[in-house]
Amino acid sequence: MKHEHEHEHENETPMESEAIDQAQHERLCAYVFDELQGTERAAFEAELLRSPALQRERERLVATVGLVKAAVPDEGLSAAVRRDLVASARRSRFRFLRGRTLVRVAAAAVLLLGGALGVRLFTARVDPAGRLATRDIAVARAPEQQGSYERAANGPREKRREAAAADGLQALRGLGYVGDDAPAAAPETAAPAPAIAQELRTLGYVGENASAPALDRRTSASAPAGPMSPGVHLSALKSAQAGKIDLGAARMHDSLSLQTNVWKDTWRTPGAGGAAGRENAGTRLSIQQLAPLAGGRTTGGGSAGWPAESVTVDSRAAQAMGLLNSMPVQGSRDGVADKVSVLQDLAYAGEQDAEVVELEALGYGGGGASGEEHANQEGARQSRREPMFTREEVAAQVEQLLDATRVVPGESASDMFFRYWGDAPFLPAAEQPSSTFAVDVDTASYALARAYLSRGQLPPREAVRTEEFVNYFKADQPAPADGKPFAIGLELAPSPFAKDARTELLRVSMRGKDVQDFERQPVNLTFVIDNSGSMREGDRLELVKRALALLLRQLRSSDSVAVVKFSNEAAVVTSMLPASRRGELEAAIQALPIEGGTNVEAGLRKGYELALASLAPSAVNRVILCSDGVGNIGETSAKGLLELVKDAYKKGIYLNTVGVGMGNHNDAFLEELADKGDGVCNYVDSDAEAKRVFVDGLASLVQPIARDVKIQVEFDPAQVESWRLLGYENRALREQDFRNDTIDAGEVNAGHQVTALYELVRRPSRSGPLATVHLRYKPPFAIDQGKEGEHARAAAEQALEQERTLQASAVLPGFASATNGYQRAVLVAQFAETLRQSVHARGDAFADLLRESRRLEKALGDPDFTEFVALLEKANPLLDVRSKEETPHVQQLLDELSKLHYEQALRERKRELAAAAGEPESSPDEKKADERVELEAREAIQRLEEEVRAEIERASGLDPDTRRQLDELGYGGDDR
Amino acid sequence: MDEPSDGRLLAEWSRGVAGAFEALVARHERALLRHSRALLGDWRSGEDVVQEVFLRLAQRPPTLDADVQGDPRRESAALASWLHQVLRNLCMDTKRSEMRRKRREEEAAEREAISGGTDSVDAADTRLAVERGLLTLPTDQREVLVLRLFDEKSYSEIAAITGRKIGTVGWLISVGMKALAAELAPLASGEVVRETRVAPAVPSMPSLQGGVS
Repeated sequence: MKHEHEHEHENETPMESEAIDQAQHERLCAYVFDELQGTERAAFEAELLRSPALQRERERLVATVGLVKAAVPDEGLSAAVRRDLVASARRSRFRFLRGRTLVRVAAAAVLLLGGALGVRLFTARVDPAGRLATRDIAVARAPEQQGSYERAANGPREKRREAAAADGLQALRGLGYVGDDAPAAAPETAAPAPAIAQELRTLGYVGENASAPALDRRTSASAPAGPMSPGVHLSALKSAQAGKIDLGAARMHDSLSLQTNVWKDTWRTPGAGGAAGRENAGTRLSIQQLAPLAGGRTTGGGSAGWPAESVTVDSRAAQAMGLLNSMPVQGSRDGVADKVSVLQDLAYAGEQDAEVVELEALGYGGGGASGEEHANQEGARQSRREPMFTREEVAAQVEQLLDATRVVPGESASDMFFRYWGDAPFLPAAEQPSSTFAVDVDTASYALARAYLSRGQLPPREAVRTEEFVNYFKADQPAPADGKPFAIGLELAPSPFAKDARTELLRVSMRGKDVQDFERQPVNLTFVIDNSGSMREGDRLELVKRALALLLRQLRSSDSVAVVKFSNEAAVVTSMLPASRRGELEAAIQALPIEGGTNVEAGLRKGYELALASLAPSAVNRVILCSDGVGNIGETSAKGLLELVKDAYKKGIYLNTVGVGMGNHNDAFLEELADKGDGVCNYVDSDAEAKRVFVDGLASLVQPIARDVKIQVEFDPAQVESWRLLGYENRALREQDFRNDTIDAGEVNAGHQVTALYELVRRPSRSGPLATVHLRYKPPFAIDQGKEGEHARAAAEQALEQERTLQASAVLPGFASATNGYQRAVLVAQFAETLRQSVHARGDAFADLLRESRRLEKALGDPDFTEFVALLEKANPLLDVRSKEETPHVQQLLDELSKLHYEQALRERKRELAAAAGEPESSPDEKKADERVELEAREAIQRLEEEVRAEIERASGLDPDTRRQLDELGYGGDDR
Repeated sequence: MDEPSDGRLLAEWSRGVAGAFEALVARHERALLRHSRALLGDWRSGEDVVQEVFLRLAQRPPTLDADVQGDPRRESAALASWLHQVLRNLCMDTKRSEMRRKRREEEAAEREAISGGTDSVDAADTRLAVERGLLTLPTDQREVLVLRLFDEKSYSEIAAITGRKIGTVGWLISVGMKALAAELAPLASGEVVRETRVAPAVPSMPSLQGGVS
C-alpha cells in the first residue's frame, strides 16, 4: 500500500496541507462525486467556504478527475475475440436451464446431444453411452486463498459470511459465478488434446486462465504442466452453503472427467414468492485435507514449503472422505452435468462485508422471504429434491419427515392440526364451547398482498392473514350512539362456499366510536425513519417523506413532532417541535439522505429518548417507526427490542410501525413491535395508501379509544356442532384469560371496526340464544405525574365489558339477504383463505368467489371493494397456475399420513372424554368395530410410511437398481 | 427509449433471439474491460476475462429480480452489477494464476503496447500517463477509482460490486485520489476547471384534499 503523498502545491505550505485531515478529505471526495445531499451537502459547503486548503484540494481533485476522464479508454473487445464469443454463445445458448425441470430436461438434453458426449445420470433414466477412462476430479486452491482461509476459519468474517447467507448472497453464487483455476490444459500429446480442451471449454467445463489457449486467439500454449490428461479442474470452495451433489461420469472423446450432476436446491424464479434458499452444511476443504488423496499427482507450480496449488483427487477417495458431499453446486450448464462451483475467496480481495441489502437494492438477487416457510410442507417438498448422499442421512431425513406427521406427546389434536396445516381445525362445541382471542386491527397483510398481486405474483402463504384482509375495509356498521365506546354487531347466514348445507357463517363486528378531529387528544409524535441503503430501492424513502408531509398537514398546533433518522447509527433530525413549525419539520424530513445499514435498535432508543423527554401527560405520546423491514435481526436482538418497546409502553409511549417496500419487507417483526407498543402496523406502498392511512385515517392512527381489548364468544352446543374462527391464529387466548386483566391484548383506535368470522356447523335450529359475544376492554390510560417527575400509568385500570347475544331466530335465509358489509367480509375472507391455501378452502371454486364479488361490487359502490375485485381478477390466472402444479407424490403421502394420525388422535380424545364422563362401556360388537378401525388405521400408516421411505430412497439414488449402475461405473459405495 | 432494455434483451436471449446477446455485449463490454484492466493491469488478460464473463452470461443468464423488471435503468444497473461481480471474481482467479506465472514481465511489455487509435501525440501521452498513474496504485484503490471515474458508479454501487462497506469505498477513493492527484500533478498544468453547482430544486409537495391545518 502506498503511503500517502505529501502534496506539493505551489502556494501551499506543508502546514496548510496537513490542515486537511483524512475524514475531511473523504468528505471532500464524497462532495466532489455528488454523494452528499441535503443538509450534509450544505454543511460541507459551509466548511469549504471556511477553508482555503480545502478549496485548493478540491480544485486539485477536480482537475485530476478531468484529466482521468479525458483519458477514458473507450475500447471494446477486439474483433476476433468478439467473433469467437458470439459463436460460443450461440453454441451454448440452448443449454441453460433453470428450475426444477433441470433433471428432466437433463435427460432429454442428453438424448439430444447424443454422440458427441455420452453422459450418465444417476437417475438412471439414460443408458450409459460409453466407457469411462479416468474419474478424476481436481481440486485446486490458490496459496493466498489457503492462507487467508485458514485464518478466517472461525473468525468473525466467517461468522459474518454465514450470517449473510441471505438470499442475495446465495443467489449471487448460484447465478453463475464461477471462478476456475485451470492450469494449462494442453497435454504434450498430439492433435486430439486441443480439440478436447476446446470441447471442454465450450461446454463450460474448464475455466482457463489467460495463458491457456484462449479460443484460438493465441497459438502457443505454455509448456504443459505435467503428465496430466485434460480433465476438469475445479477450485475448491469453502462455504457454509455448499449444496449436495451427485456424481456422474462422462465420456469425452477419449478422456474422462468426472462431472457432477446438480440437484437444485432452490432457484430464484420470478413469482416464486421469495422462498428462502436452503443452507446446507458444508465441510471446508483445505489443501491439507486433500493432499493425502492426491497420490502425488499435482499440477502447476507449487513452491517449496507450500502445498501444490492444485491437486487431482481420486473421486472415490474424496467421496469416501465425505469431501465431495460438501462441494458447492452451481446450476447446470448444458443441462447434463455441471461443474462444481467455486466461491471466490473474497478474503483475498479484502473485506467481504457484502451489504446484502445493497445487492438487493440494486435489484440483484431476490428479496427476503417474508415469514418463515411452513416448515413441514416446504421441508418435505425440498427434501424430495435434494439428494441425500449417504444412507444414514437419507434415513434420518425420512424419519424427520415422518415424525412431523405424528402427534407430538402432550399435543392436543387441534394443536397438531394447526402445526401441520397451519389452519385451525373445527372444534366441537360440546368440548370447546367458547372462543377467546385478543383484538387486532392491523391491516398490513392486505396491503402487502395487494402489492404482490400488482406485480403479478401470489403473496407467500405466511404473509396472508385473514383477519387483516377483512379488517382492511371501512366500517359498515353504525358507530355507537349511546356514548359507549363500542357497538357490537352480530349477523348469521348460510355460507355460500361450504359443501355442507349445515354450514353457516357468523359475523361478529365491533365498531369503535368515532372521534372528531377537534375532539381528539393532542399527539406528540416521534418519527423514527429508516434511511438505510435499501430505502433507496423503489423510492421508499421518498414515499415515506411524502407520507409524513401529508401527516404533518393534518396536525394541529397543539400537536408536536420530532424526527429521528437511523442507518448505522441514529441521529436526531429535529427535536420535538410544535406542528405549527411545519416548514422546518418538512424541510428536515425532505433533506434525509440515504445512508448505510439498518440499526433499528439505535433508532428506537433515540426515538424513545426524545419521546420521553417531551412526554406530555395529556397527550397521546407515540413513536412511529418507518422502515422497509428491520433486517436480519438476530433472535436476541429481537427479544431485546421487544423488551425496549414494552418498557417504553409502560412509561406511556405507544409505538406504531409503518412498513414500506416489498422485497425486504419483514412485516412479521414490524407487526410484533407494534403489538408490544400497543400501536398499529400499516403497510404503505403508494401515495394513495399513504393518504388513506395518514389523512383519512389519522384519528384511527393515533387516537386510542380502548386498550387490552379481548373478545369471547360462547356457543350453545345444542345448536352448534362445531365452529372455526377464521384468522386470529396468533391471537388466541385461553378461556380463563378472558378476565385476566394483566394480559396484553390489542388496542382499538377511533373509528376502527374489528370483524371476526366464524364458520359454524349447525345442529337443527331451536329457539334461544345461539351465540353470545363478550367484549372486554380498558379505557385508554392516563398518565400520573409521580413524585420525582416520573410518569407512570394510572394505577387504577378498571376493565369494562359489553355483551350482545344472537338468537337462533335471527339467522338469515340466505347469503344474499345479509347486509352488504357482511357479504363483503365473507368474500374477502374467502379470498384470504384461498391465497393462504387453507385446508378448509381447498376445493372451493374461485369462480364462485369472483362471481359473487362482481355482483356485490355493483351494489356496494365502495372504491376499496372495486379494487378488491380487480385483485381477484389478477389472482385468477395465478391461482390457476398454482392449482396445476403437482404436489409431489411424497407430499401427498405425508399429508395422508398426517390425516390418519389426526383422526386417530381425535378418536383417542373421544374415548377419553367418554370414559371421563362416565359413559357406559360400549357393547362387544362396538368394541370389535372400534378395534378394527384402529387396526386398519395402523396398517395404513405403516404402509404409507414404507412408501414414503421407498420414494425418497429412489429419489436419492439409493435404490438397488441405481446402486447397481453406480457400481458398474466404478462409482463406488457410499455405505459408511 | 427505443432501445430494448437489458431485461428485454435477456429475455430475448433466453428465447434464442439472434442479436440479443451481441447487443448486451456491446452495451457492457467497455465498462467491463475497464474494470478488468483496472484489476489486472493489462489489456490482454482483461479481454480474456471479459470474454469469459460474457460466456457465462450466455450460458446462464441471471434472473432479474421482480422489483427491478420493467425499469430499464435499474435492469441495467442490476445486470451491470452482476457482470461486474462475476468479472471481479474471475479476475481474482486470474490474478492468482498470473502471479504464479510471473507475468509481470509480459505485462510490462504489453503496457507499452497499450494505446492505439488516438488522435494526437498529446492525447496518447495523457492516456499513457493516466494509465501509468493508475497502475502505480494498489489494486483495490485502482479498482474503485476506475469504477468511480470511468464508469461513474455511485459509492453504494461500488460497494455492492466490490463487496465492501460504503465507508471503505469512500476511504479508498480518498486515498486513491490523493495518490493519483500527486502522480498526475505534472500533467495538470495549472488549468483548473471551475464547476458551478445548481442547488437541487425542492420537490413540490403533493396536493392534498381537505386536510385540516
